[in-house]
Amino acid sequence: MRAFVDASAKIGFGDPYELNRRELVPFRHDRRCIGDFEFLTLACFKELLGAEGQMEGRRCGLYFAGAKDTMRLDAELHEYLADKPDRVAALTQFSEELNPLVALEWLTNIGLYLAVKEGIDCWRHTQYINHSHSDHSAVAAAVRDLSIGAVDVGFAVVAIAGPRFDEVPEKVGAVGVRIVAQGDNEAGDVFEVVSRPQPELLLEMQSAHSVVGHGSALAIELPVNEPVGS
Amino acid sequence: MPKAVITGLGAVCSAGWGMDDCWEAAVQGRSGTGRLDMVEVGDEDCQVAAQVPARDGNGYESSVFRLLDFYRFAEAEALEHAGLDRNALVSNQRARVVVASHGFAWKSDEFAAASRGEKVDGHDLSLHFRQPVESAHQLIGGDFGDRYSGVGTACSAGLVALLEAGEMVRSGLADIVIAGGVETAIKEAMVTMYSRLGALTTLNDTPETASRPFDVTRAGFVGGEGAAMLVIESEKSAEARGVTPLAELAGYGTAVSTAHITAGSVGGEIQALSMQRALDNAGAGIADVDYINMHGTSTPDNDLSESEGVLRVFGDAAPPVSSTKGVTGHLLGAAGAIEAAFSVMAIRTDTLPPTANLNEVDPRCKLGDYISGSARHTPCSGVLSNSFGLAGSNASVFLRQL
Repeated sequence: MRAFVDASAKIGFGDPYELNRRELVPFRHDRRCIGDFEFLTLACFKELLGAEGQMEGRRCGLYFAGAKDTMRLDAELHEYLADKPDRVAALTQFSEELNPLVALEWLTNIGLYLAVKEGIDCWRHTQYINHSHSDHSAVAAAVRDLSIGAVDVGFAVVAIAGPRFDEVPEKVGAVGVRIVAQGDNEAGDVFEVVSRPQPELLLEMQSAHSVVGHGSALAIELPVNEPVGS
Repeated sequence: MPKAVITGLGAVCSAGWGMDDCWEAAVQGRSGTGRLDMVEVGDEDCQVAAQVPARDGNGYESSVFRLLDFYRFAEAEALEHAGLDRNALVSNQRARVVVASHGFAWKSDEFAAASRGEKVDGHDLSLHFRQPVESAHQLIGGDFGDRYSGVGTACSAGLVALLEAGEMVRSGLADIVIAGGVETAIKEAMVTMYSRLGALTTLNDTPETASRPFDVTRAGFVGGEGAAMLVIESEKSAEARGVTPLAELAGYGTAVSTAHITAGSVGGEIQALSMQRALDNAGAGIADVDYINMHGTSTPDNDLSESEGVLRVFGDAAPPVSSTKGVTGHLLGAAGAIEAAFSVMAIRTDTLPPTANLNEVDPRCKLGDYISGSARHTPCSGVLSNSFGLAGSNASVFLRQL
């Protein structure tokens, strides 16, 4: 199954980025991990959306990947609260200013919030929570849905915030691609969509697309295995 | 495009272990809800739940083992029903697994316990639910490697998992997919959060009738648990194996509304879009739908807005509708899967289950035919099934007799 990456975005993962961009959402949280996570996801997705009106009339699919390190955030929160004399107060303080829309299902709702805010026509949406390779699930689903015409454009995004409150590791960031059915480099190199520990797949796709250059498309191939024994 | 067909069903819920027991309870309108005794929830407003009865009299070491037992039981039943061997599927590169879960199984209770008696609302508590889910996901589908997907889109996840499976088969990416949902959501944290969100029932005096979708006296949903797994495969694969499909997974649609954190879209507009897309995707019209298995949570808002959504699509031609959550409670991430399984059974048996505990339809719910009392035996060749999640994740599937 072949499709094309026509836009890519990467925030963080070793690159410096500005944290306080409240214009993205009205409810951004100042706490490092949650704030990072919201910011990263939204900033990446917003960049992939492109110019205002670019998605008009296009049937979009949103494929978000939940991250192990994001889940670990909860464990870190557990630690954070553990030594607080009044955990309820600490919890409440932690949650201050956080819109509940974000809290219930992190990635999906962040994406859906922005999708609706941006007025895009969402025909497919899924959050993948199998952690070792959920970015592969997201990319594969986008290619799959494009190949059968279920959507016109797919967005595959993974964001990782954490893993600790008190550091900004190289592993923190968000990376995503915009995938379409038609591209402009049929004869060029083809990037094979094969899973590896997340978020390496999306990072490599973003890197490969940046080599192709903005405004051009990177051909990607999702292997379809032959049946065993038939 | 290959047709996606269903060849196996497996389920466990508060009404029993096994598809036959679950379906029989749905047809009889026999509720599995009782007093909440699995966990201590203090003086929260909700004190009832649809708990899965102990199997072999044994308890579970942790909620992870509970979840795994539900999953493995439902998966084994579905595979046996379909005539498939799991080990053979693990080595078959054309076989995949998609499992949905809300993710409530984990160690979040202490946060709820910490808030007992304090003014911490459900929104704050919801922060802490996404505990490490990966361990269970690895245990469920790790042997399938990247041919395993976990799906989390709140209460629509079970149906989204079937949609995923259908797309995999139709796109040619897979021949056989084990798909469905599993949930062990009856946790102190879940009860506390949803109770404080005002979503859980407060009808504690008569647990067996606490879940009463569309009834004028409904007061919220009943938390449930269990699992349902379906085998989805290409029609060609089923033919090659000499298996008769149970039904076709003919079409599906999703639509998004983030108008409100817990409420559906105003007037059911987005829910209607989800249903219409499912029909369009199947190349079906409203006349092809003989029955709708509603999301029907028993919350005042959902049942009203879903009814409004059905009216938008079907108008006066709306088919009979019912919600099986009067029997099962709300299985959250697994709800869509077990309700799709019930929908398959409706087609297979020409039997439409009633909404349990529906005595007087809310006059604001204006559909013409809410099935109540007893099951209806009537030809049924097309069923629409809805699942709607908090924060606007809506999904519908259309199942058709082959």
